[in-house]
Amino acid sequence: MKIAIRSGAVISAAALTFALAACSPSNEATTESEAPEATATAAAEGSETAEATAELSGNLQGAGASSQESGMDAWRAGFQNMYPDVTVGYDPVGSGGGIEQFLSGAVPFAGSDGLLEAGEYEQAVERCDGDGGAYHLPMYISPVAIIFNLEGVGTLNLDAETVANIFDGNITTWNDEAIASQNEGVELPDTTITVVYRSDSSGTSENFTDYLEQASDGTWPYEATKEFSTAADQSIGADGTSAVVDTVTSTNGAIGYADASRAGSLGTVAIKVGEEYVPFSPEAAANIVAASPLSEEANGENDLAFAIDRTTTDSSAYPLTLVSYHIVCSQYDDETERALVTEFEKYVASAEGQAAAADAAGIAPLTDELSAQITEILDGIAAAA
Amino acid sequence: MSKRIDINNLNVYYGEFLAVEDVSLSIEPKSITAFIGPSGCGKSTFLRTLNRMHEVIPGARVEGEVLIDGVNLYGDNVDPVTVRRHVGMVFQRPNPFPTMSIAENVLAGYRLNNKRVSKSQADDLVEESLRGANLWNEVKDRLDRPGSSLSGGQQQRLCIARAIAIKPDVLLMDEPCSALDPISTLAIEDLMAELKDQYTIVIVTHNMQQAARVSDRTAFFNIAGTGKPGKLIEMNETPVMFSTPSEKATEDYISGRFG
Amino acid sequence: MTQSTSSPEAPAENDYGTHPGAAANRVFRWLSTGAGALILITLAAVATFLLAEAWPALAMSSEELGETVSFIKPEDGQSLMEIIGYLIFGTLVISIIALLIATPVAIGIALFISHYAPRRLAQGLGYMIDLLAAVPSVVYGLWGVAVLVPFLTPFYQFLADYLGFIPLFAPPESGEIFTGRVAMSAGIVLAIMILPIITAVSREVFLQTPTLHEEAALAMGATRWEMIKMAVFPFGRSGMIGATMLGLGRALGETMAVLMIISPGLTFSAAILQPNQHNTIAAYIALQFPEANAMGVNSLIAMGLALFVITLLVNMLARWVVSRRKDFSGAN
Repeated sequence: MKIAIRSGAVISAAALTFALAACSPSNEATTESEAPEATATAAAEGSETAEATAELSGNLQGAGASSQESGMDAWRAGFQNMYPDVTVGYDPVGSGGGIEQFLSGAVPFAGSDGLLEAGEYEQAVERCDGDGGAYHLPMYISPVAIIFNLEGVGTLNLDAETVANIFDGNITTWNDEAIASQNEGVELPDTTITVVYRSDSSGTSENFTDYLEQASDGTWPYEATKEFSTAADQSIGADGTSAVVDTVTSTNGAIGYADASRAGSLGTVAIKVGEEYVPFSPEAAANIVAASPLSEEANGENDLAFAIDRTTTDSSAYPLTLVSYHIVCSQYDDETERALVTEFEKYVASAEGQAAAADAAGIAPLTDELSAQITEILDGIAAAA
Repeated sequence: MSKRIDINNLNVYYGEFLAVEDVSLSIEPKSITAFIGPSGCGKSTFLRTLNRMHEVIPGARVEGEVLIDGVNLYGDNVDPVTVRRHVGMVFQRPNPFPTMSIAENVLAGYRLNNKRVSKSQADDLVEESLRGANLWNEVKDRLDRPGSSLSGGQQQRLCIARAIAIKPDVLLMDEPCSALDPISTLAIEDLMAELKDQYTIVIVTHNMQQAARVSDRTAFFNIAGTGKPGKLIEMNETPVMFSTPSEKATEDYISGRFG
Repeated sequence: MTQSTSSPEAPAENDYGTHPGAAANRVFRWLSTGAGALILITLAAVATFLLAEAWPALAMSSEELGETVSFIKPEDGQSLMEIIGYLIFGTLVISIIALLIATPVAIGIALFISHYAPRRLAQGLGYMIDLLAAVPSVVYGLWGVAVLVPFLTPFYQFLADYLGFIPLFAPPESGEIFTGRVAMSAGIVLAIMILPIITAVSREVFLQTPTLHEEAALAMGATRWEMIKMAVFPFGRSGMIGATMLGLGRALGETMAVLMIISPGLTFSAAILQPNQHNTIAAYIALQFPEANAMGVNSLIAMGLALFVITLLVNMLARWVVSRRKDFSGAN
């Protein structure tokens, strides 16, 4: 269902119009000559009661990762509530499509589950005004849960090697010694394990395989990739998060991975971090970002492109976490565009915006420090002309 | 092979509509009997009751009996499919199967009864039937060509060959020449004259000269008006019918003062 | 004779010149010619687009493409060409399952409607079948996953237990059919989806069988079924082939239902009861498109081009089959 919407939605640059309306009659008189395309009627009529919040108007269009879709719905609603004259649109075409549209200048920001590649960084320098290039802002932090369907078992402790062995088909029954030894007191049946994975190309798969590759000490034989592959004989590929959850729910002995907010009543795995087993939680997910270094390829310290440290031993962190970014330019010469992008992104990074998306999509809200850091970067973009 | 037909008090209905009312007549074996009458008088419908082909139309039914050598076609334990294998029919427009070759057309009916036919048997039957239909000499070199490649008159003779290939007791012909030119018509009429030595032939025709030329006995059907049932007016030896009919309506029709 | 409408200046005024319908006739001729040309232009435009967009991927070396596009892995035997090969195979396997199931059923339904059912029932049934065509493929996909697949799984187990020695019905290594998300299920759902189109077209063709031919068969003592074999099928042959090809066209291009039902894989395996063996071109494109980068999109379009070519070939084959016995078609 998602596919149909994604592929059907084609954004044309021509549809993007930005207009900054004057906020009051007096203002209008003084700045009118400079104001580009003053579509002032709506704002002017409400001038008596107009507050600072009504100073923005126009149309902000983004495109990218479908993982952010439900979060983006919450942000759009919240932001439009603050600025009734602003329209925000987000086309969930996928990370690749979003980056492509961003680089071609069709949209002012993109949502992406992955980081820009070196070549794309270069293109971003050309695309953006000035020479600053583009920045990643980690707006959408979401733990990925390893879910399973095993009657009477609500949670299991597993280390990364065991998870890797299960998902690659080396461990085929639930009462395998490797599982049992980590879960004393849990009654494990001899049910065959059915591995359920995402058959579509997805950021969730990429984060999960990245975790397995980094943390399993070589047990996971593949590289991190958006296309999950497994040697498990008893495996089922399903298209999209919902299908994975449905398949796990309907298959006794199934194990899979999905956005934690969708785990529902299924059993979940507490993964071994350092010496402890850590279940997923918003706090632990946010902590892994704070505990991770920036990517070596990052575009300066304002580019918050994290190289998530899946091997961390900090047991307050949950390393199996998906970080999805908003990619923005470091400089926008168009005043309207700059105002819209920075104000919107500041709202997204704010406690209020993060709480809205946590309610709607189950994301892990940013830590206060990270939120403040992002706001500072956005202020910098807003100031740069 | 030739059999006698006796029809007693036959009514033909389409649903509630009475199409043909109370017909009783006898058809002699080894003779040609012609049905004439104006359009809509029920003569074709009546002809079709003789091999139960009228039943193809939903709701059609009859009352009365049709006896072929004493066996009632509408009695219990009579299957219309079997009836039709004994009472062959040739239609107004030639209708060879377009997807079959000339030879296959001739064999089509025969194959229904005999699933296995040897090559030589088949060849013999094709030749015999086509000769019987006076078509052999014209088509013997192209038996594998489609039946639809023939002229109209040839197609009609092919249909006759197809009908006689299953050696029927009776051959019904529903205006067999109305779609043909005079020369083809003549060929069919000659053929009928030859076939009557072996078959009981019943022909419906609009062409009174044709009836006069080929038939031994003629039955005249008429209709009182639209929505009324068709009726048998009279039946007699053909020369008598065309010279001194006993009914006024017959005389009017034959002399062209009517219809 | 002097009321001719042509203007007085006309050099050769006579009674046999223009007539009132002439202009409309000319306009209509241009309109219909235009419509014919439009379809050719559209087709050419699609082909050109596919070629132009696929070219960058086709022209690139396999290794380079493997580095650029995440789903192309030449080192694992999944270069672009190899993937296309697997997908063509999968597409054909699933479409053929669909056709093998749908065609006999559809022709049976069409015959029932055209030659067996009482008129009122026939109308109702025809309407119901047409309604099947109006159901969106997403619904078929959902229904397939939620209802049909669980329902079929025990049946597959039965097939695998007793006919598993045939490669077609071979179960997974463990011998247990642990999921029904296999090519067979996708084929069955596709069969239901293409049923209406094959039924509708066949029904129309059967209804047009000349009464003359039907009566010819009945009059020599054919049963209803023998009449159908003698008159209806030969007459409707090209129509049935056409109907089947229309169905095949839909099956080849169907995305959603396959996407939702099958657990996909890339192999040349004949095992239609095993998951992770087959995928179709359309479903593969839908799986990869959202996260594909620019070159990835080019590669996917190259697969689309392959689908385009297959569909074209299938249609050409159908035309050839139809025209082979043109003399006997009954079209005259």
